[in-house]
Amino acid sequence: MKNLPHNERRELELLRQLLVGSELDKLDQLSDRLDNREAFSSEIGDVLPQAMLKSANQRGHQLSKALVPTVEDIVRISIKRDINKFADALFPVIGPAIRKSVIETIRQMFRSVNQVIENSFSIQGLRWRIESMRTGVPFAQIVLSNSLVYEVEQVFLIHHSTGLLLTHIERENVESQNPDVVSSMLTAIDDFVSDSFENSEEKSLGSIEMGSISIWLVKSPNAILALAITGNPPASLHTTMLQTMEQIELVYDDDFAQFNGDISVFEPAKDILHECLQEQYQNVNRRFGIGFWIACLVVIAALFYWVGSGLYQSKLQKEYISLLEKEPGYAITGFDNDGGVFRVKGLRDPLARTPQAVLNESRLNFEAVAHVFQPYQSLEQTLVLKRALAMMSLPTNVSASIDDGRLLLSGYADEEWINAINRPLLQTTGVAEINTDALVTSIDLSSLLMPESVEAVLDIGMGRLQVSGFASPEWRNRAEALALQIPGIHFYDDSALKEAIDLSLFSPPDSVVLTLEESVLKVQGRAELAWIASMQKLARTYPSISRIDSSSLTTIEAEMLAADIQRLEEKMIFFDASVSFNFEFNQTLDEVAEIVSRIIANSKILSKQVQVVVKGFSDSSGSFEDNKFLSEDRADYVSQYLFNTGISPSYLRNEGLKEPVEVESTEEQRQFNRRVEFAVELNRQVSN
Amino acid sequence: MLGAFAVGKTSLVQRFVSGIFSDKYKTTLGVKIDKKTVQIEDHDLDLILWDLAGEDEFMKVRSSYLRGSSGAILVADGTRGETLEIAIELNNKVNREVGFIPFVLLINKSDLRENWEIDTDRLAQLKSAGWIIVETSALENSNVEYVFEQLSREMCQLAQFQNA
Repeated sequence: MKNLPHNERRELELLRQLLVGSELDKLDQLSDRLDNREAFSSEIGDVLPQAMLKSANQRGHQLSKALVPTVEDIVRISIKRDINKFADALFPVIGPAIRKSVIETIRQMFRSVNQVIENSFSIQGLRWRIESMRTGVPFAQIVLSNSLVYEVEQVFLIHHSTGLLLTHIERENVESQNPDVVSSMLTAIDDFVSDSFENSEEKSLGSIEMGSISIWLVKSPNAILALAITGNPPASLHTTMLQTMEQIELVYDDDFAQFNGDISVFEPAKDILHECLQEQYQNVNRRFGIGFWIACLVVIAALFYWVGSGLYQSKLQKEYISLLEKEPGYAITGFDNDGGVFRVKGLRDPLARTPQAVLNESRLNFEAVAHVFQPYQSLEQTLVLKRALAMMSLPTNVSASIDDGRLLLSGYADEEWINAINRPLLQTTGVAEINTDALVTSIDLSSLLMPESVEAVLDIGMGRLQVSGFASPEWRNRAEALALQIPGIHFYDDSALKEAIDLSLFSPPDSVVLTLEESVLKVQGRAELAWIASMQKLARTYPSISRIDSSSLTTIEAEMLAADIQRLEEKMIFFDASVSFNFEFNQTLDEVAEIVSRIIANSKILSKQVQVVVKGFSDSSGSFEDNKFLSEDRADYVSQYLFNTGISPSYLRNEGLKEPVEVESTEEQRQFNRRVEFAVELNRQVSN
Repeated sequence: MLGAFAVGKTSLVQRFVSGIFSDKYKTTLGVKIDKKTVQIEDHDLDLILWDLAGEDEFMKVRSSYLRGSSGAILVADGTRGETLEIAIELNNKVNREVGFIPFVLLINKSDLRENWEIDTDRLAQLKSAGWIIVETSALENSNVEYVFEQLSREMCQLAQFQNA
């Protein structure tokens, strides 16, 4: 259009005015609005929120994605310019978020600490366990208190002027005493300290130390913040307390001013107080626990077992192979391990023992072994013998042995059987030669020199010799060996043989006749008691003597005793009218003393109790009283005499007259009555 | 708990809180604090009991311990007449420090009534001035609960009045 002449340009302009005049004005206005930046930006400002909203609704995250870099930039610049604004804005969010995460972390840590501690076993652990038992505090708590640098257990917010507890928080695992009382007590202590030490610069209590627990106090005009802490808290904790206190003063300024005892308004302050509930743990030196070492040990043991059991198996296998190689009828050509199965290959004579029988002698597991054997005929002597015997049907009384191909037959056989042996056939089994020299056709027992009292029963077919009757031990000891040397005798039985007893061993005196009938030892005649005792003792040592028959035996001592008693009772000692000594009497008395001594000795041997009664008498002249005394005196006289010869008075008893004597008619009768006589009382057996 | 020394403050508190009485005398140093919850008209009321060391001529009750109290129990020993005057003086001290708060006056050791030497005219005079006076015995557990409940009620009424 610029190339057109001026007048034409004007006309064209006119035409354009006519055709699109009003639209042109609008176009101008539009271009003005676009050119005017201020107006345009304010217009965009009008529609921008709406446009963004629409875009978010219709296009989803496109706008957000587009804005991300810009927003990031904004944040970065904003933080660079003034960090506090951002911090202020985020403050309400960060506190709860951090707290939540911290609590969760601690909870997890508690759980894992509990677990680790409960399962771990170390010297230190043991010490803590003992401490736990001693104090009754849970084990995990002991561990915590030992591994803790410090921990704030409780936080008290106390009203300054009244000492009332406004609010209180405590750690989950802490068992607190009544916090109201603690709070009052703290106030009281604080008041006490303030009153007592007025001159000190700081007029209030800053901390209280009690063992492992310390209490830190921070005061503001309206409140006291108290922390119960275990361990060694850092100085920074004090700063935290001050900041917390300041924040509480700021937030609850009005509530403090209007405080009327209603503590519920301070409930939300717990969130602020949580800032103070801090803790720090020691890095417990984590050495390898005993569990680790046990695990190591188990692994090593398993390794050893694996290697060892492999070695052991191969040792057992070698043992088994050497057993098989020694076993007659086996020829081993090879063995291998194939998939856990031990395979043995070779040759086996069908007459050889089964592989299982050999395997039972080794310690190898039967299931783990496979055998691949080809049959063959072995020339091992035991197998040759076996094969030959299978062919011969040996009589029971014939035994066979083999030595270097020579078959040796021994025992008893009849000639018919010996002649029927098929020698050529036997040679096919590996027998080169047959020796029948030791075979007998009859059995000769003469070499045994059997005594007459012995009876022999011979079972030729079985080769059994049975002997019975009586024989001396010497013969018995010799006979078995001799019998088994006789060809054809393989079994010897002397269980029915009884011992023949040599009765002269009893050395019986001439007066005794000893006989043995069946098993009864019969003793007849007379013998001393001592011999009878030794005979009984000896007889008891022979099992073949079941009983002793001594019904026809008398003892010499008993006979002597009986004779002595008779003799004594016939003795009489005569006195004159008084009790006077007489040599004649004396001689008789010596005789009496001898007899009495013998009676006492023999009755002792026979285990009998004996008493000799010395009976005194007198004639009828004089009174009975006088005669009684006189008779007693005579008995005493005799007893005294016997005592003097050595006879114990315990064997003697005196008796005088018991009734008056009939009046005598002659002097002889009178003299007869002046006497002492004897009676013997032989009593019951003396108990030993 | 306020009163002269050895009038039985600690014994009363012990009887009230733990239900036990010991005839061993233990002097309280400074203050001993206990807590007991009482029920007043279906409401639980936590009483924080400040058992203050007994006052005598050498040891005055620390005024700072009085701050924040809601009620006072003045204790006198029926067998020692002078302890009544100390109780009255202590009440004045409370009034100076914290203003008017509900209180009761206990004449303790009613189990030793035959040895009483309390001035009955003085008691009558106080009663006519509106004092609540109760005879108690920690030994025989006589009126102990009643006193604490009575004071709790008074304190509640005052609080309701102030809040209204």
